[in-house]
Amino acid sequence: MKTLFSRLLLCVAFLSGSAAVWANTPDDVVRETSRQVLDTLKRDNGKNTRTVRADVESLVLPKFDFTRMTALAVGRGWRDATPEQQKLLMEQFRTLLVRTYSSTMTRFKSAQVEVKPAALSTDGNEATVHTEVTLPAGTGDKRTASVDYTLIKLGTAWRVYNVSIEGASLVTIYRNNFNDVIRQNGVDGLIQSLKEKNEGMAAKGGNA
Amino acid sequence: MEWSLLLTSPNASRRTRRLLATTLLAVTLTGCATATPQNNYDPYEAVNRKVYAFNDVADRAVMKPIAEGYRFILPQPIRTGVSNFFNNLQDALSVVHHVLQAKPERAVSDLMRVALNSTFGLGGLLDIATPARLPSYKTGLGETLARWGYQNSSYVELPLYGPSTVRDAVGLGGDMLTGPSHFLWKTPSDSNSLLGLNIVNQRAGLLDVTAAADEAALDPYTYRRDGYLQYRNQRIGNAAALKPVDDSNINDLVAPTTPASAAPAEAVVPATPAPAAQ
Repeated sequence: MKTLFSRLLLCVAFLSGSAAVWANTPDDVVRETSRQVLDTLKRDNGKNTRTVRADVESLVLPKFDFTRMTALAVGRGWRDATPEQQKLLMEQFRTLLVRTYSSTMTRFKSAQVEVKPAALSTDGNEATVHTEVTLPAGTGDKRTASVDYTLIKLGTAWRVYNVSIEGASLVTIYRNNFNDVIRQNGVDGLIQSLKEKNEGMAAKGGNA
Repeated sequence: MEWSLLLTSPNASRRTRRLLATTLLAVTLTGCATATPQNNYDPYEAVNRKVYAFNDVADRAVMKPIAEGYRFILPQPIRTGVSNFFNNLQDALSVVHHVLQAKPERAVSDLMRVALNSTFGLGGLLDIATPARLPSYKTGLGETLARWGYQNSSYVELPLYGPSTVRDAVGLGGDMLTGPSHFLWKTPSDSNSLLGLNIVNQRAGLLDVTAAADEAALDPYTYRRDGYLQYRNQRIGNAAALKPVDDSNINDLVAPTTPASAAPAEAVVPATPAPAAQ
């Protein structure tokens, strides 16, 4: 009895241990998160309710490194920004992205996500995870899209800081525009523009 | 996704002429462009922005309501059939261009698609090739030109059509003149109503996408332009052009190991991922 029990314990320990290791590769972070998000989106008959949005956000947001993501979007202007400005930029940019994608995310509730093995950078601190997202009965002709995630290793955890759809990055797509705004109105001007955009959209939709 | 949908429109020489005329107009107006060029891929920005503004109005006033009506009236299976039908025509054209691009496997695969879908798929209304593991690799003259060395091309906003480049506008015109529907429907009224159906059907598929772009962008023009160019350059393997004008290295902007960059996320996380095994 005792041996059986200790064996069981060992088994459990082994399983949970391997699960921890297993969930720690970049492709498994993407795979696990996608699976959890799709499960959440299917709840409440696939409606885009506030609780579903909140649950998805609490699943997804911790997996992102928004500071790095914002720096990537802003480009050279990031270096001239003070830490305080960087923080404000990050907060506004995060709000912009979250609002944009949480209003449309239920479209993907029946999507299937195929995650390919990650490609690691030479120093092993960055990884690109390629996925194929398939929408079953879409309205358009292109039902499969390639979505690539770029991740960075922070301590033991992997964080996403870039997402590309069919080669177009949802982050660097902003860089030329942000450069222009900074050139004309400075970093504070960019913070202000983002803020106005966010407040304008919140006032307009609010889709609660 | 948006861009690929926009690129898959066959036919009608009237439209072709308009596209070519626009391209020429854009080229001749280069000298008038006043905005200081911040990049080398959008020298016609001043003109493009005007066309964009026109497209935006035309889109909201005409195309979007029609597309919404279309989506309201026709049930999903019929819209899918319409998409499949036009895709099949596009697949046929792709066979030729895969050959021209020296991609024989894709040419054969697309040929099989057309054969299957045109016969068992009831003239292209059903897409039975995709479930049969024959993915669609759509291509056209624009990508053939890129393959032959015409890689960098200036951005052009085409009236009523949207984002393109000089190369892809030429490709689009060529595809329309040589596509199957040009030969299948000789009378202009037939091919024009078909073109109209194709455009409305594509627009209906884009309703959600454009709503997202309006929400996402500070400047919808640059958002659409840069997204389109990234997508195109990725497709034609033009790695050099994928680098942004400001090509700051991310590791110079944020040190890759600063714990500070993880901090904001941690505020939201109830529990950070368990520290590895030991």
